[in-house]
Amino acid sequence: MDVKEQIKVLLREAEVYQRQGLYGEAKIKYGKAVDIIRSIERVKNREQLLEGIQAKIDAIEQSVQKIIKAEMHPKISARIQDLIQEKFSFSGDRDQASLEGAIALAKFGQYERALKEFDSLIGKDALRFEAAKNMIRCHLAMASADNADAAVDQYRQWLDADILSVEELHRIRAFLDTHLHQKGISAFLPIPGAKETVAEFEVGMPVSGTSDETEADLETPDEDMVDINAVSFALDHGPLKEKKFELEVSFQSGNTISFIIPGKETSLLDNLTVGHKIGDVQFFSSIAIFEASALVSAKTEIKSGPKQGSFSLDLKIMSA
Amino acid sequence: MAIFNLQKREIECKIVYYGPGRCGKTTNLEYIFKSFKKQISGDMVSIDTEGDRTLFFDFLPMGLGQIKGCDVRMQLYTVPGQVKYSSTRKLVLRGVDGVVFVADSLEIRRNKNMLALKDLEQNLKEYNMSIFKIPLVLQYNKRDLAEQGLPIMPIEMLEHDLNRQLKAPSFPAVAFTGEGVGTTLKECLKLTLKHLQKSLQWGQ
Repeated sequence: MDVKEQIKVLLREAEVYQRQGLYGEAKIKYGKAVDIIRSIERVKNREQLLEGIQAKIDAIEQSVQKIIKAEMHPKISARIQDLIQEKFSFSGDRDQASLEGAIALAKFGQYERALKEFDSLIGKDALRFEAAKNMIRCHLAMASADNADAAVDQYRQWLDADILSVEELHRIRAFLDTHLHQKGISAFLPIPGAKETVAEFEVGMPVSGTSDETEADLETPDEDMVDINAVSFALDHGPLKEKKFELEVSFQSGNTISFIIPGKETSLLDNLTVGHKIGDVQFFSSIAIFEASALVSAKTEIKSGPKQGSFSLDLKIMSA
Repeated sequence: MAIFNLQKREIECKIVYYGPGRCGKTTNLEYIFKSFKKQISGDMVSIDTEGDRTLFFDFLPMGLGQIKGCDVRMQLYTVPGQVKYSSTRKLVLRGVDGVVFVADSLEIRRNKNMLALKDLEQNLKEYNMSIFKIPLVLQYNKRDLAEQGLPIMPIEMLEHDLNRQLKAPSFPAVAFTGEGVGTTLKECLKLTLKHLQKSLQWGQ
C-alpha cells in the first residue's frame, strides 16, 4: 500500500472510531497518520493536513474531558427514581423490599431521595438500625472529602431523640467513627448514655479516595459480627517472619476492626501494607476465640492529636 | 430471578444486555422499542451521560402475551459498558434470568470483548450463578463496518475468543439497522422461558 493510501486508511478508520465514540482508538489512528505525514517531506499540503488532524485530536480530547468530568450520579427525575426503587427491590417481604429499594436509590447516587426513604423506615423495628446506618452512609457520600457535619449532626439528633436504643446508638457511633477515621476527619461524637465525654481520637488530613469506598459500602447488613477485643497473628514474610503479634482493638464496625499502632513499630507497619492478606489470625472476643484470615483494608498515619505519628490500621475479617 | 405471581398468573422476567462500552447494547434496545411496538408495554427509559454513554441502565418493558396460561412480561435492561461503572453493572445484573452478550466485531475491540465477558462471568458468580448455566446468547455486532473498509474480526475468531467453551447460540448483527436484533432477542427469550419452565416447573 502506498503512503497516500496508508494515510487515507488511517484517517478513515479514525473518523469512524471517533463517530462510534471509541475515542482512544481514534486518537491512536490519528496519531499514526501524523507520524507518517511528519516522516515524509513531500506530502501535498502537509502543514494543513497536520493542522486538520490536530484539530480532530483536540476535539477528541475535549469529548474525553467532558466524559471524565461528567457527573457520576446526576439527579434524575422522580419517575426514574420510582422505577429504580421498584425494580431493584427483590424481597417478598414488603418492608425489606422498601429497604432494598432505598439502598438501590443510594447506590445510584440519589442520596436525597434515599434519605427520605430511610427516614420513613426508621419507625419500623426490624429495619431501624439498617435504615439509620444507611442514612449516615448517604450523609457521608454527599459530604465533601473533609466535611461530615451532616452525618455528625444526624447522629447527635438521634442521641437527643428517643428513636434508637442505646445499643443501636453505640453501633451507629462505632460505624460513623470508623468512617470519619477513614476520611481523616476529627469530630466529637458523644458516647450514648454518657453525660460528658471526649473524642476517642483525632486524626489529621483527609485520606483521598474514601468517598467512593463509602458509596461502594452501601451493602447488606454486616453487623452480626461479635465484638472483638484483640487479635493475635504471625507475619508470613519479611525479617519478622513467624514472630507473633498481639494487638488490641480500638474500634470495630461490623467485620472491620481498627488498631492504633505506634509509628516506631516500623517492621510491623512495613509488613502490613493495604491489600495484604494475613492467614490464621486469632480473634479474641468475650464469648469466643476463633481463627480466620484478615485483609489489611486501610493504613493511615495520624497526623495530629495525642496519637500523632501512630498509624491507624484496619483489618477486614475475611473468613472463619 | 423471575417473579411468579400465582394468583394473577403472571410471570415477570429480566433479560440483561451486557458487553463492552460502545458495543451497541442501547442501540439494540432502541431498535426493539421502535420495531416491536405490539409487544412494548411502556416507555423505554435511558439514563445516559456525556456522549450518549449509558450511565445507570436502559430499561424496556415488554409483554409477550399468554404462554401456558400465564401472562409473560419481559423486562430488558442494558448495563453501562464503561469500566468505571463496575458496581452499577453488578447491581443491574441482580435477579437476571437471561443474558444477551453484545460483542463488538471491530478488531481493535477484541480485548475489550474478552474482558467484558470475564466481567460478566465474575458478576454472575457473585450472585451464585454460572455463565455456563444461565440462558445466554451472543451477538456479534457492527458487521457492516467491513463494508466501510474497517478491520473487523471474522466470526470464527469471535467464536474462538468468546464462545469456544460457552457454546451459546450466536448471531451476527448490525444493531443500527436492526439486522440480527430480533433474532438475538427471540433466541434469548426462547432460552429464558425454557429455563424458567424447567426451574419453576411452570405449565407442567
